[in-house]
Amino acid sequence: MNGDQTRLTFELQKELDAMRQEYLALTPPDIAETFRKAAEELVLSGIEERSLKVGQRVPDFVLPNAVGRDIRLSAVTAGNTAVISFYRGAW
Amino acid sequence: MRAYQNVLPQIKALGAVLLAISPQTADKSQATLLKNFLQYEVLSDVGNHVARQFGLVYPLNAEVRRIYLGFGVNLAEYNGDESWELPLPGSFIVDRSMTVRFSFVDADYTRRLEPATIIETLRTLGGEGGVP
Repeated sequence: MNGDQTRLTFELQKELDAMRQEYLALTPPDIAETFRKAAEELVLSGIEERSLKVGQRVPDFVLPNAVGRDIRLSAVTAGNTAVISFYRGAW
Repeated sequence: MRAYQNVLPQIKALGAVLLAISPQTADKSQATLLKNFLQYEVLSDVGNHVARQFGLVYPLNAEVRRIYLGFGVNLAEYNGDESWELPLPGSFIVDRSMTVRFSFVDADYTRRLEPATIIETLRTLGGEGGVP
């Protein structure tokens, strides 16, 4: 179990860093620069500070899952802890 | 998202449910699930309404939009709206009283929370007795 955990730790970031190196090698410098600037602006916008923090209440929501069935957060948290992960999409 | 699939059995064993949320339409989410053999809920937050309540939404600027379109990525089509907004990747652990017990948000969107950290945090919260 511990061995598994050690292997898992930092695996994802390593994979993402490798993808980033590959991306930088394949991306024209002007495009890479546009993305770099946009990323910098995003950090400076203070968005991170405005996100929900530990101790704050999450507003309840209902969203459709991949087959169109509605999932209500409060129904999930009635019986379980919820791990909510936002991602941008797979494109 | 595949990285989370690997720790899904551990998340479940710790009494937690994983919900992934993206602005993609349900059809696109289903394609993602099938392509990556994911076995957890992928919820479709068209218009980023829920992401906005979490304070995670930002617009892509005109230059970046042009580049995306040049790559053949038409976000308006994937997301079913014309906003060209995206959520910042972020992960939250929410307990039974709907309170945030752990959050990870990084404005550098090339960084992600390590799934192993979620497992460790769930284990710690469980140990405290606060989260069953």
